[in-house]
Amino acid sequence: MRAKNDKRGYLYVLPAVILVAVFSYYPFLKAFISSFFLKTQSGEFSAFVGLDNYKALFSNGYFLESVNTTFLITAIFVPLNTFLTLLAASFVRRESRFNEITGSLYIIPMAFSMSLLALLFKQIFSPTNSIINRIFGLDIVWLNDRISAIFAIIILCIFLDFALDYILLLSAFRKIERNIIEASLIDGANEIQRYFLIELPQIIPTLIMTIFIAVKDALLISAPIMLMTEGGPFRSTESVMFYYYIEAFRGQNRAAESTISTITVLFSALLLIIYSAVQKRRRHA
Amino acid sequence: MLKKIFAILLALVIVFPLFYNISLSLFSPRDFNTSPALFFPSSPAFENFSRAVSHRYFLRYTINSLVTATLAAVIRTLIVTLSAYAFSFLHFRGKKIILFFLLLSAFIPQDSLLYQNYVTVSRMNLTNTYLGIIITSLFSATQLMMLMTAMKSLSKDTFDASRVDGAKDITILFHIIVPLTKSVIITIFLQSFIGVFNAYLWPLLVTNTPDMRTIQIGVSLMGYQESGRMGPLFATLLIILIPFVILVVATRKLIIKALSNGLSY
Repeated sequence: MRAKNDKRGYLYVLPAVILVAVFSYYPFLKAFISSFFLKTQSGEFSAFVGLDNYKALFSNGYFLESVNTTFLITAIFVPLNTFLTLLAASFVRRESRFNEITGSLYIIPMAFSMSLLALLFKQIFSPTNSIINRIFGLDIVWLNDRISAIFAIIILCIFLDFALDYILLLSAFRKIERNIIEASLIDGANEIQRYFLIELPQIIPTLIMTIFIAVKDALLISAPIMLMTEGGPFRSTESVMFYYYIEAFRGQNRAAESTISTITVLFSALLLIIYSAVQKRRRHA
Repeated sequence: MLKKIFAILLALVIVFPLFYNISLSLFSPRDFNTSPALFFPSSPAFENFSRAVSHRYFLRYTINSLVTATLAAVIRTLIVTLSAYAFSFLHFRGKKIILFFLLLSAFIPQDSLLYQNYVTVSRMNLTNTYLGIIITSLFSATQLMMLMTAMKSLSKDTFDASRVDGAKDITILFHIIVPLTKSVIITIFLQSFIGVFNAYLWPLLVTNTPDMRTIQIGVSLMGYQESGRMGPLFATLLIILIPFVILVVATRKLIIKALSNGLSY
């Protein structure tokens, strides 16, 4: 006879439920509700203003600039990152001694934390004597204008995500059933045909996953910018989440804080919904 | 052959930051100002390392990081394991709704709620405490999913947990189920440890006394950049980095296996 209700089950899930309620749902609901009200400096509600806070946000030049910067970073970072990690995984996808050694070098960036790597990149892209200039024979004053600063931030982001994406893609390649590859050998497919017609289609679900992780990381970027450029020069490299951080903590701007919280949470949820819809459709296709 | 050359070229690019960090940690103050930039130190300045280690806050910051990361990893692994066990093997009313409530939280990025959570934690008087640093990292919906997937693959009749009482749960969990899902649990522990050890924004917000800073924030606050003594800064970076390089390279097979089986976005 199976007991109908194991009451101790509630006890075991209680810590998780409390944590999620207090640090995920409660802050989101609070930000969501606040975004429709005016608040005093001490945080009390003073008046319902409908969508006025959102209107104010979307007519703020600095916010719009930060949206622009975030999309620019995403648009360059995601394809570049996808290409490089796919390249790395493709290079070493077969098991051999050479690939084993090279492959273990590819995961080294995983050892760096974000803040350490950002400090290092600040030196690598030093405005006064950058090693990048020495290597490529360039004469760029890095981090001193919007374009070079954004470029340096994107390179930093690639190093931050590289190892994880590489591992995911590599294990996808290695999980392909051997008999599929062997069958193609019998059919006389050459190396290049085999890669594009047999192996690549097999790893598409993993590729889609790494792309979505990259998009989400890029859209929510803030700390790397904080450490590398502090949003400068002249607030030209602020991302949406960096702008949020500045307004919430330095500007005490309750309207901007609550509206950006709400928008970014809904946006990431939307992204996840699109992601699962895409994967589901692929499975049924 | 061409493929091998490109593979090596890419590897050189990927390893360059580590190489350059090693080099920078041995730069003398003059080497930092030489233009064009140097690849190698003019003569290795080993005193950077003794300076780094003898900084008055180096040990304190490192201990803070190790303590918070260990505490968080232990508590989070326990919370995730207990709830995964309950959802996989026990029957209680509202189970599905509670599970949905927990998993849905994966849709809410913590970074978007920094300010609201900061307000909550300061109302709880937890700023400048270890608990304050770790409290927002004590549960992960994706890890719960990972472990539930692993537990689902175990044969259910072998341990029909609903037949036993509460006291025996702990025995079953720790003597049968945990050993069988060991590799996933180790991965969850390591992921949590590294996540909290490497955290930057949240510990920056909830601490403001030097005694409570973690090393990730601390390296920027040691005054090296302001005083232009960059050698000890990069020596500090390298000291923190080396254990992780060894860990990552030594456990790469475990990492690859765990990530390929368990990670779901």
